[in-house]
Amino acid sequence: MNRIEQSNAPPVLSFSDVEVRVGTRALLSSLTLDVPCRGLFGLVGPNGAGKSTLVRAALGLQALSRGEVRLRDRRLQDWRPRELAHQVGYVPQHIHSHWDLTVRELLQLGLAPPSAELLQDFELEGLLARRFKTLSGGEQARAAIARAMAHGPALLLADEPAAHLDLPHQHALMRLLQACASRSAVVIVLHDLHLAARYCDHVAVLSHGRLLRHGSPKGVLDDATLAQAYERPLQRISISAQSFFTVPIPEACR
Amino acid sequence: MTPARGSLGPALGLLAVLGVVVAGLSLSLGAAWVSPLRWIGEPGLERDLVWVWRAPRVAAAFFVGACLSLAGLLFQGVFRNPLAEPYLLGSAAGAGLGAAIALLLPQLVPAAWSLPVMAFLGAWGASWLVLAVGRIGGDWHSGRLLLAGVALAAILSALRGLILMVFGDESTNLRAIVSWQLGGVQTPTPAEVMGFVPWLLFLGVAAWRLAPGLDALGLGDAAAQSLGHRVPRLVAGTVLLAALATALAVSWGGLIGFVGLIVPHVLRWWLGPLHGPLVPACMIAGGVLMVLVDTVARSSMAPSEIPAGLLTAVIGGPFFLALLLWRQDRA
Repeated sequence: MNRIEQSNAPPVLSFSDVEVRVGTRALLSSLTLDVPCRGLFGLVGPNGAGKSTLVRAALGLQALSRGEVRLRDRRLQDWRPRELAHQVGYVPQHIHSHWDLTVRELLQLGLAPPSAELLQDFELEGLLARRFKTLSGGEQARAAIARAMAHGPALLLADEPAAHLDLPHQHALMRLLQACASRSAVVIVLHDLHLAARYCDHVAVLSHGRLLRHGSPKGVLDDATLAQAYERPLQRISISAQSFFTVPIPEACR
Repeated sequence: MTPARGSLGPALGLLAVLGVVVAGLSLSLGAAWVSPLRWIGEPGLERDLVWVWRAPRVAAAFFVGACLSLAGLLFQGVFRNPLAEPYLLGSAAGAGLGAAIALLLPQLVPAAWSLPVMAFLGAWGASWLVLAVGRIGGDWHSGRLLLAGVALAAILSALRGLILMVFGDESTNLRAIVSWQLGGVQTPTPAEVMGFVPWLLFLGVAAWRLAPGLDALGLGDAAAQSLGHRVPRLVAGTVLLAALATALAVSWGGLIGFVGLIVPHVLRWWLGPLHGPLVPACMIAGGVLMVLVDTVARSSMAPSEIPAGLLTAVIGGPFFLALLLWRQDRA
């Protein structure tokens, strides 16, 4: 495990009293959160907790009802779109292309051509001429992250990139993101608490648009916080000091 | 698994050679065959026929084809839908309605002047309306844009039919409208031919500048925004440029379908889906195809002309279906 050391460097991304409302429904409420400039930052919580809304707000795609988002201590709306793109890489929840692109063509759409080292790290050299649509889920995720990281952004936002992968590919992807997190801040939306505990340096737990807790996975992912977030009792089954599975406790056993 | 992509340079070279051959054929073919040796001979009827009548018509056909296929490429790119083309999205129907009104107007304004202006207004108005509907609720939604375009195209076509029924009579204007609706390239004056050049340059450069945004849009709105593209502005700019290309094509060629659908498809199979190389390739290929269609239209039943719109539908439809089946076999 290669945990990023805590530093006193200013946060790369800050949410200050952020509120997002659609009609009468609050998607995010009074959310204040700093994302450190290095490390893998996991956003966890039940469906509808506001994780993807938070990512959209960080991309400048979500209008705020209140508060502000700052990237490198500058308000998000003060960045020109092109400048912002150079600072932030984004991997969407559903990785797809409407056109029949090859991997090489997909990488051309990035803001900079990928270096030979990046292609090697992401094991893409042999896939460049392949159709993106014919790749496996793991290969597609690697190609999409390589495109988002090619220009060396300060922040990578990944919205559930591990959601459609099998177990070995989920872990391979998390190790890849962990390596990226040694150079940039990486914010990843996760449903798997085990992956969050095992790979993330920081975790924020959201529920109903509110931030319940944030900090190191060990300090944050406790029974009480998870029960509050998921609104049901959960049991953690420990595998090692930093690794556990979480299962809901069946009603019959409560 | 590995697609064979053609390179832009050789493709443009091949299209240019094809264009020269087709243009040469088009200058010689017609109601009367004129040998290439007589194109630059002594002044006379045959030389006038080639340079005063056929050459401007070849230029106009090229212009119409280039505009139509560019409009198709832009609409397909921005709607991320292979069915998108000027005729499906209301843009051509808007231009058609505008042109029909121009042709039915009392002779206060000459149709030569009012037709292109009204076609412009119709295409732009229809495109703005589609954009406005697609933006209801604040967010852009390409599916809603496409559905709005289909509905508007049906409404505008019905309106055109209604106007023709109510205001049309046995005058020559009605004949002109029917003939124009079936599609047919007009013969421009030399000054009008010179006017095509800046339009083609403007359309080509503007579309080429939009190309990276259209490529990124294929990854989704959020991904395109994250790559630094202002998605609403990109969508609006692309739709309006495509509407302009449609209006120009409709002004000179009437209602000609399929070119805007077929050419971008075939070239995407040949050169790949990135829009930068597709812009010049589509304009040249569309132009060459339309010159060929127009040549067949005016020479196969000379001295009568077959409406070019009928030819593109009759030949283009089965050709496109055959290509689809061939691609399916190879996939």
